Parts: sequence; C-alpha cells; structure tokens
Amino acid sequence: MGGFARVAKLRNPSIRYVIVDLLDTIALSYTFLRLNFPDARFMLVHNRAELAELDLSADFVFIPAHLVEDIERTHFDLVINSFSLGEMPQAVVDSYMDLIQETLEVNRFYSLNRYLQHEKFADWADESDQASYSTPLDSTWNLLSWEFCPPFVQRHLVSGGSKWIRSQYIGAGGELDSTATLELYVERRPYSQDDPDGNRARSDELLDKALGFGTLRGAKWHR
Amino acid sequence: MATIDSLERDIVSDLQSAFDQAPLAGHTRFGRKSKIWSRPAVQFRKGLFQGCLVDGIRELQLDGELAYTFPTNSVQGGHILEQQLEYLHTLHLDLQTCRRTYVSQQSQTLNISSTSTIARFPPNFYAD
Repeated sequence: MGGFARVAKLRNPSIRYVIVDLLDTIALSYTFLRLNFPDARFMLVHNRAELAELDLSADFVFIPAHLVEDIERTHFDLVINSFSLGEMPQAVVDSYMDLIQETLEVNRFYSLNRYLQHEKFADWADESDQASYSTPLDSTWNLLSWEFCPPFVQRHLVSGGSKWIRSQYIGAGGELDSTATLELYVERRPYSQDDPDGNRARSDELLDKALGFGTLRGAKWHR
Repeated sequence: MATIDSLERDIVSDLQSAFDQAPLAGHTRFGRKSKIWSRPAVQFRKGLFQGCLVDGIRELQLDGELAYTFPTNSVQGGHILEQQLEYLHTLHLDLQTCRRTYVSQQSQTLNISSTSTIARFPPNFYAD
C-alpha cells in the first residue's frame, strides 16, 4: 500500500520506485505516497499511450495491472513482491514471472510469499484457482537468500492476533500453518553462465533442507 | 510546495481519471487475484474510492515529520494502521506516541466503517 516504498525512499532519496498493482490498490498507495512526498515527481499511468511514454525519471511511477502486459523491455535494479503472487491463480503468477524474467531486464528479485502451507488451512472453496507455486524461477539466477518462515514474519503474524500461530511453529506438533512463507532473494546472472548441474545440486540441497522439516505431506507441499 | 487541499484535489482528480479509463469488468492476464478480488468490481472500486478519499485522511505529527497514515476507513484500515506502526518503528520514532495514536485512530476506524462511510453512499451507489 506504499508503506515499503515510503521507507525505501526515505532511506535512499535517489531511488526511483515503480509500483505495479491493481488500480483499486494503487488508489491507496498513490494517495499515501503523494501526501507523504508532496514535492516528489509522480506519474500515474492512465492508458496505453502514457505507458508508451513512461517517464522513469519520476520518483514514483504507478502502473495499473491491466496495462502492464504492454510494458516494453525496461531495466530494473530490483523487483520486489511480497504476499501477492501467492494469492493469484497460477496462470497470473506465470504471467508476472514471465514479465520479470523475460520482458523486463531485472538485476535482482526479492519474493516473500506463501510456501509449504498445509492443506487443512486452505480457505478457498475452489483450490484449482490457486497458485501451486508462487515463484517459478528460470535457471539463470544466483540464489542469495532462501529462508523458510523468516523470524520477522512470524513475529508480525503472531502480533497480528492469531493466537495459535506461535505453537504451530515451535510447539510439539510443529505442523505447518497457513502463514508459512518463503523469503527468496536472487540475482540475475548472464544466460551464458547457465549451470544446470550446479542448479540440480543446489536444488537437491534445498530439498534435503525442506524434508528436514519433517511435517510435509500431501502432493501440494510446495505451496 | 502545494497546499494539502490542492494536493488532495489533484490526487482525487488523477485517480478518478485513472478509474474512468480502466475497464470496469474483466481483467487481463495480469489483473486477477484470487477469490477476495472477485467481488463486483464497480462496487469495490467505488467503495474504496469514496471511503478513502472523500471521508478524509488522518495524519500523524511525529518527530517533526508530517506522516500521513493510510485511510483509516478503508477496507483494511485497521490492519494497515498496524503496518504503519511497524514502519514508524523502523524509523526509530517514538513508539509510545504511535501506540496511543493508533489506539485512538482504530476506534475511529470502527466507528467510521460501521456507520458514516456506508451512510455517505448515495442510494443508487451499488446500482451499476
């Protein structure tokens, strides 16, 4: 809703920040950020014609999701997605990942999304409409960080009022819950440096780590 | 520097223009989330738009910086204020001051969301 962008801009005033979101949500972030940075330069993209004239020198640029499929190849130092891709149908997730990995030129990608959530906590009636995996990466990323249920997420969610969450994480039962997340941070490397054998070894290592949790079951463990 | 009144008018105008040019129904492959977003688009947009912008935006005066909160009567007002507290904490501002403000504003949130925001909607608000 713009809070992260505000902090990022305060800490580093030179950054240029582009928000891609549903227009309904942009209404919040756009309002919030304009009021907090009244002297900054803003661009809210209204239509395809404006998208074609994208001014990335503005401090904040807002692109409604219904326009983003027309964005042209553009360089970004970092793409961030938190608690978003995991809420989408898989086809939409795949479209966004294509955008990040193929259309745009992205140096680094940070994701904080649901992962390994147990089926019994599913709150949707038709799960066929839900993402099975929120961050399908291609093979040319260097993994910088991979952390399951990072502590700051646990603290945030516990303080958010779910009384049973803490015991779910650290209690004797130890079952994974609906708040299980993966923090992922990767860096692009040249396609010429693709390393399928290295990727496979790294994947096996991560799988061993995941299996070490000991509570995985069902075919949908990767959520 | 623009005055707050003129800035708010400009924001409303800019957002209204964006909504006017956006599709009311149907989505591209990028535009759809899961069930929570499947409510009638017009109803959600108008409610959010009016709830956020017409009913006003609260402000906090902290540590010499004018820091606006998120709209307290939006659909996620209480949760968002809580997020805002975390960000303020990140900035090492006075958490005790924030906490009192938050509690006060959360009370307003409950009142507004249950009464005045809905009451402000015109009779034909959900008609289309």
